[in-house]
Amino acid sequence: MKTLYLDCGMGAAGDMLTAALLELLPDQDGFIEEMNALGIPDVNITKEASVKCGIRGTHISVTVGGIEEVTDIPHEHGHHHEHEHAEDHAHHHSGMHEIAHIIEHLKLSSKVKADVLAVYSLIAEAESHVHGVPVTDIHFHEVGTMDAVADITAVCLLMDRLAPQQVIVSPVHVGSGHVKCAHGILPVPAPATAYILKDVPIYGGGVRGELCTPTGAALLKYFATDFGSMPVMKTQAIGYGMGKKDFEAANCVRALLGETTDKQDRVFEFHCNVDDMTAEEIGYAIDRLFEAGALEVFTVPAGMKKSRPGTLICILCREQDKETIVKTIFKHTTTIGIREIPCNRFVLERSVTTMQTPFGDVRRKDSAGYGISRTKYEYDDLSRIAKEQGVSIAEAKGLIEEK
Amino acid sequence: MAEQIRASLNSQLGNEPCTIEDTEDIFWLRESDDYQSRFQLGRALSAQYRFKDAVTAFESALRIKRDDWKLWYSLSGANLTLRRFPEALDGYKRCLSLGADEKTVAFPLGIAAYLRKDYTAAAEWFEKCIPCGDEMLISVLYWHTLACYRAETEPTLLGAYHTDMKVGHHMAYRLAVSVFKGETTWEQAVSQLESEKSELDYVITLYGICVYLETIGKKDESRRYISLLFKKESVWPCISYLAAWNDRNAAI
Repeated sequence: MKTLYLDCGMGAAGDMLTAALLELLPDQDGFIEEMNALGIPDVNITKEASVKCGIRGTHISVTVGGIEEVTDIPHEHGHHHEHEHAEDHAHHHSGMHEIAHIIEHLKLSSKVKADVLAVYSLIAEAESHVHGVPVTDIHFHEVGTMDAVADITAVCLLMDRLAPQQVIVSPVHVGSGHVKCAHGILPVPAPATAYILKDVPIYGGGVRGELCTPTGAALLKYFATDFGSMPVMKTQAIGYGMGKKDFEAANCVRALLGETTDKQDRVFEFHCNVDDMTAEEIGYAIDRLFEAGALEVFTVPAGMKKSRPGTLICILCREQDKETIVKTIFKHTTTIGIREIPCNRFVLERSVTTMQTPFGDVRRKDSAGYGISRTKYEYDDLSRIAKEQGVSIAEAKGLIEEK
Repeated sequence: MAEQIRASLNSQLGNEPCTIEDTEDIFWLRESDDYQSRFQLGRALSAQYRFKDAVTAFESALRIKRDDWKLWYSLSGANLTLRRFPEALDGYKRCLSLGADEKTVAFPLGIAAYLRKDYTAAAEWFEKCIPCGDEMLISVLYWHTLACYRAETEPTLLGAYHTDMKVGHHMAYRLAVSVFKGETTWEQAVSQLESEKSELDYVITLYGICVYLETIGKKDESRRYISLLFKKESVWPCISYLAAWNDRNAAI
């Protein structure tokens, strides 16, 4: 599967993502020319080589009317503000409908336009929520707007070109501390960024400073199919998108494009120990856990404190079923504590084919991956045939294979 | 009592605790771990005369980027003020290896040599500062002459001095150099200083006159005026004050 992995260990901003993805393209200069011919008003994009902590990458600069949005901190919230102090500004501000109008007139496919608008909508929704005003009342500073439109458009276009089947994003390092901006003193991550990154794994880390901007956050949120660690993949291209600032760690987004030929997924393992349940009660709990979505439930005899023979109950489940599983464990067992272990799971690709045989339908399970392929018949079907024909399971399997 | 906004000499060159608080700008600079913030933090702390803290900030910036000669220059300046001569010299040499113009670095290297009482080397470094504009030249003539006085050699650069030099705000150097040149008597210069409002200019001129007096054998007068100079402690990080303090206190 064509997979794009984005390493956001130093956060993400629109220009960093653009630069990282651009490095994955064979014709980078051609893409820059294409971007500059799109018709984003007054915008000019340039790329330059950049070295941080000894790593070579690309830095993208966006100028609007010849002016680069130069801020000490590469964030947009200082510019994406309500139009509540227009008297301070002679320049033009844009509302969401004006941005939609600009995007509509860009020389882009309807799919990319829809992506750009959707990403911008995430930012507008976050600003709206943070400021407590309707999305229609949100206005964006002109330079910040065009700068962000350029970054968002570039990333959407690059995603369209690269066409990954899945985009996996690492937990996002958002930085820590506070930043001073047009609205006053804000905690890091800035409120709009924090809102956009709801339900996304983020961490503050030890770096003081704002590492993830609202634009970066919105792009990650929109394109990520999953967040987590890098899957097993054969990498074909690697890109480093450099930020404006220098930190002790290389301030870049790293993009890795490749193929995940073998399947790996992420599951959660829950453990609890009980020493006061009967075997019947445990059996009942296991049935309920399977009904709640457990992938597997198994028990291990355990010697527990006060010399009590007990039981370790282990449950495997997917992330989306975690909450239900936890509730089910507490409801149907006597445990007062559950241990959670996130696991990366290497699995073979599996498929089930129903075969028609003289003995009725038999389901065949094929598994493949990691250089292995194997086949087996569904036990329930073999068992039925064995009973009907008065033979053993092994003989039932032989009967199917003969036919 | 007025709030103290700059660190005292004894807090930086002695054991007195430094009680200067962070400004708002410094507070915000501490909130970010990026290179520019750390560099600017060092400069902001230097502006408060908190050179020990500034060195820490510059060194933290150095952990991010080691190839910016401007950072080494600022770090070396702070180390020089703190009389950490090996560190300052090493830093200035780094500036040169990283592409800084020799003329830019020659002046502080001359000052470093002067403070280390290596007056011959100091004069050589000052000679490397020219040609330069009049504003810079007048300070070079001042320090070169003092180095030569101390080295008991001829202050050959004084020949470059002329009365219509456009020295800008470097009037204090000019007054001292006019004494070295014999255009103004030291008594006239001292008399002029009585109405000098700028403590910085006062210290610069008076230090030059004191070294001049010492050179012409008027050591008692030199000592008397030096004691007046030390009363202007608010400008202690200026090179002339540091040099006077160094003359009196430092065993190199």
